[in-house]
Amino acid sequence: MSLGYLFGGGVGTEPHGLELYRTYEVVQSWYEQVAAWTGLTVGQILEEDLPTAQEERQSVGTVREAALAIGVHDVLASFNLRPAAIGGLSLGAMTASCLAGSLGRRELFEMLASSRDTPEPSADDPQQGIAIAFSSLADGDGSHPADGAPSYPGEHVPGVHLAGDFGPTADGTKRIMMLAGHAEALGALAAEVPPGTVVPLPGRTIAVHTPLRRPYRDFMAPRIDAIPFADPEIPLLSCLEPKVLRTAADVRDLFQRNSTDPISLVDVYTGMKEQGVQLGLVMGPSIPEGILAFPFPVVHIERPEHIEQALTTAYDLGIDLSGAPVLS
Amino acid sequence: MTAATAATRADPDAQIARWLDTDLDEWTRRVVRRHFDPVTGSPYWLGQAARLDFDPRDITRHDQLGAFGPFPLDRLRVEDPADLVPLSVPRPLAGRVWDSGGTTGTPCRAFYTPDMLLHRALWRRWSFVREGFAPGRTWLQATPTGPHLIGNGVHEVSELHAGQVYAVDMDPRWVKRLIRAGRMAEVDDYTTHLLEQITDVLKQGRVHYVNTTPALFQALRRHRPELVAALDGVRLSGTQISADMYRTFTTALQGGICGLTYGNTFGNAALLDIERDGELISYVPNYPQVTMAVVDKGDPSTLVAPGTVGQVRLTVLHEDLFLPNILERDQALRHPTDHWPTDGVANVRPLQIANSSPEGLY
Repeated sequence: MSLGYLFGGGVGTEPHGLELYRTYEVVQSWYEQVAAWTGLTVGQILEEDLPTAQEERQSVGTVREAALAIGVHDVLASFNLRPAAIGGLSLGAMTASCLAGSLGRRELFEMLASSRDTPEPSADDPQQGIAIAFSSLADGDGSHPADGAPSYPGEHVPGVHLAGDFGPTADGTKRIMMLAGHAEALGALAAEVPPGTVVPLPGRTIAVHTPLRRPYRDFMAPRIDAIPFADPEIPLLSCLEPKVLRTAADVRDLFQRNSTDPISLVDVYTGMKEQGVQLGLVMGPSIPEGILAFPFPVVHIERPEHIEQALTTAYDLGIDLSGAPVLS
Repeated sequence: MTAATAATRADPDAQIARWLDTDLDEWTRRVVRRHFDPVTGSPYWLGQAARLDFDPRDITRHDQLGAFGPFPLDRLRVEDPADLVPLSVPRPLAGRVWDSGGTTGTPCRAFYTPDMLLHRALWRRWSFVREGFAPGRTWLQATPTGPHLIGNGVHEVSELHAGQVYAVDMDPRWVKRLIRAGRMAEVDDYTTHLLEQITDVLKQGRVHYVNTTPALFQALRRHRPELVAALDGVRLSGTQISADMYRTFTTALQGGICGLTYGNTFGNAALLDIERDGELISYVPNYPQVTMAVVDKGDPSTLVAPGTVGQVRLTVLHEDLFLPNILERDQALRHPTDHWPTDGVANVRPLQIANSSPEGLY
């Protein structure tokens, strides 16, 4: 019986982690360290309004999310809980790589902070956007029989891309996906399909995990190349394909492709299941509780009381914590 | 022991058959009217009657019990347990008050009359037989005892299943207190302390079956697999059991029985089926005194569709204890079955409430 740590993607605009910060000294000292590395204040990382410029906002938001996720990890580690497998989506994949020992924490946060220098898109560029899409599972698992790839609304609509697959909902009735692309195309699609099938997300102006993020990928490529990656110390699950990342080159490749390739939570949790994970701990609020189906029990941790819940569940399930490796 | 009780003990299967033949609506009328009888009803419910906007004695069907709304469990932390028992049960009451887990604060308390204890014991015996636990064997019960009703299983096994029982006591409140304080090393120490007592009994080779919690059995399997492999079976009570745990346990038992039960101090459900190598584990309540519904997490008056997930809603319809619509801290699949008069539940897990819309996924 072993633990898996799951890290979500996306950049929340709301303050997260205040209660954990106020409760645990290990979180306080961690945020001070992140502040020193990134040039942000603890207040900016923790709770202040995000900047308005698109790429700067994205950068500070990623620092906020990753800082909280690693803070949760550190609190659990202080109680001797450590994962036997680890993985995440998008930003969460990079956080997981860091905690798997593939790159230093400083390198991760300096990279995230440096992304604020990504050139802002031209005012003439078509506006980008994100939408959440739902497909019914009444007639199958929502995938193409030929290759198992998820089928999604707007599959052949120009300007609409599949950006993420979150898998079936907890009640087993739907499959949830993320679409991204040109905002106009997404809006038109939402108007065309049955109501509630495609829901554009207001204020999300970056077509994450699509070819439209190529400028960002190119800007970050040399910075990622400069990071000294190491082989992961524990099984690290990719969110870009069904794969366990075992080498430094694997992890570097994930970092390079992460911004333009679609992500799959199904790949992450299926891989964890194959690695023997029997309890998943979801770090931070980026994968909301109660919406998705997982192949093992999960506990979501974003507030101090969830730490107790995680410890209790680990005890109740008889999770073996004695053999987990010590992470850097 | 009354003559009726003695007869029931003499032929427990006939009693189970009578219960399963009971018309639920008729049983509901009988129990509700007993508790709301102006002279011989239970003091708690007679006190509530004036606050209700309906006359409970007008209730004719089980599906009308929703009118009571969710039962406020907090009342069971402060009420005199005797006040939940009809006055038709002779006073002064003589018997045990049992606690709920009490791992998160003040426990809820309920008085069990002899008939209630017998009901529980007969169903427990029925489960033993159905799961393949042979009578006349030697058991080790390593569970909470003291205020916890599960500890009464020692007597139930010995009296109704002709078993010889060793016992090891565990204190779940102490374990959870240590966990709350983050004192995980001491949790390990306590587990070791329990395992030492368990292995001291098991290593003599006289025990056929163990009754314990999934967590403790997992620890035993990890530390002394040869002792687990030598057992003829285990019966697990208490917290959740996942498909992975079930498979791990059956592998470790090497052909031994792995029996399961779901429930708590107020009502229990017996294992119905284990399908797809543990991917579907279903239970049926101890009918008619216990019924379970799976309801919408946001609207406990509405059943979810068969096969879908919702919150477990427990109704206790003992002649001597009426607790309608207890909302459990568990979720499960609604599991209707042709093999039972009411719905069963399957794949029980701790309750998860969606704290965001799907739009919060990224």
